[in-house]
Amino acid sequence: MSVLSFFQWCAGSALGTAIRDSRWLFPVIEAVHLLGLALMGGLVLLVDMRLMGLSMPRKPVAALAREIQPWLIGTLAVMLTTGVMLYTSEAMKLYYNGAFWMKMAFLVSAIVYTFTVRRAVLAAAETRVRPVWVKLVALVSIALWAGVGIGGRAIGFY
Amino acid sequence: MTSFFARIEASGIATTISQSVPLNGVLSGLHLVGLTLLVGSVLVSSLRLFGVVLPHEPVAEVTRAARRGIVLGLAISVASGLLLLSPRISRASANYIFQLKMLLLCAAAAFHFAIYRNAARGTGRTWLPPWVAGTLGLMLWSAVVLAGAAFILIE
Repeated sequence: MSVLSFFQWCAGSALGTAIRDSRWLFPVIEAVHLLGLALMGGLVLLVDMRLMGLSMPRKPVAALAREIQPWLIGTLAVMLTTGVMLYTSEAMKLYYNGAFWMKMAFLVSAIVYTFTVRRAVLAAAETRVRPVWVKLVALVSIALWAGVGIGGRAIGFY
Repeated sequence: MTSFFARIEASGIATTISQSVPLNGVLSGLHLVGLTLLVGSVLVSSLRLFGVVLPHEPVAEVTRAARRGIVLGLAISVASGLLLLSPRISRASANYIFQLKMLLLCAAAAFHFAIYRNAARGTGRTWLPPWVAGTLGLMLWSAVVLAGAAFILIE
């Protein structure tokens, strides 16, 4: 199955058709998607600002990351679920949209980065990683998630 | 008011923005980043006021960065929003969803600076219980987002 035929299949799915045919489903799902993105941004910033030494200086980084992790995963699940729903309703339009592919590139990079590099640094930030690298890891994390948001908004301009 | 709006729409900045799709895209992206920073910070600090996120950490510690995020996010959103609005302020101001969004924005900002900020500092200098302040703050800013999303879709 080619990428194009996968997109065609998604566009013709019962879910995509139901969302397209409803007047209210798309805006409601989009609003939940946006709130999910906002919460994700807030959670990422909370931890990344701690990595940069700008918040909660007395809280150990690893302990903070452990407490935030379930929220991060839950919010990501909401974002991905609502994102897939929105995607199926306009899959063919998105196939030809450059901003959508940019957003997907940022999203995959952000998820992989969050659960590999950033996770490793969060576990070892105060012992084995030089402060300058810790700050860089936080800045890259913020930039990647900002890229996801900007890519999403840019979809409407293509 | 009509002539004031017409003057804004005829200004050099508004003309430049209306003629440039990339500039519109950048400003919209910035508007969303500001909104994400603002609402994300409100969500995190409200969840702490409810006692569900980092309940064992002092309120002021958890919300310190979030309070800065709210003010910075609001500044970015308002500045980019005014620029985005400048080429079409007459049409937008006649739209009832836009009027509702502005009303909610003013209410949310006023509530933040009058009540929510003190509750998030954890100083006890507010007449509302923290969880009520958190709920109201969250509802007001969520309503601003919903009205904004509805305005984009209807426009």
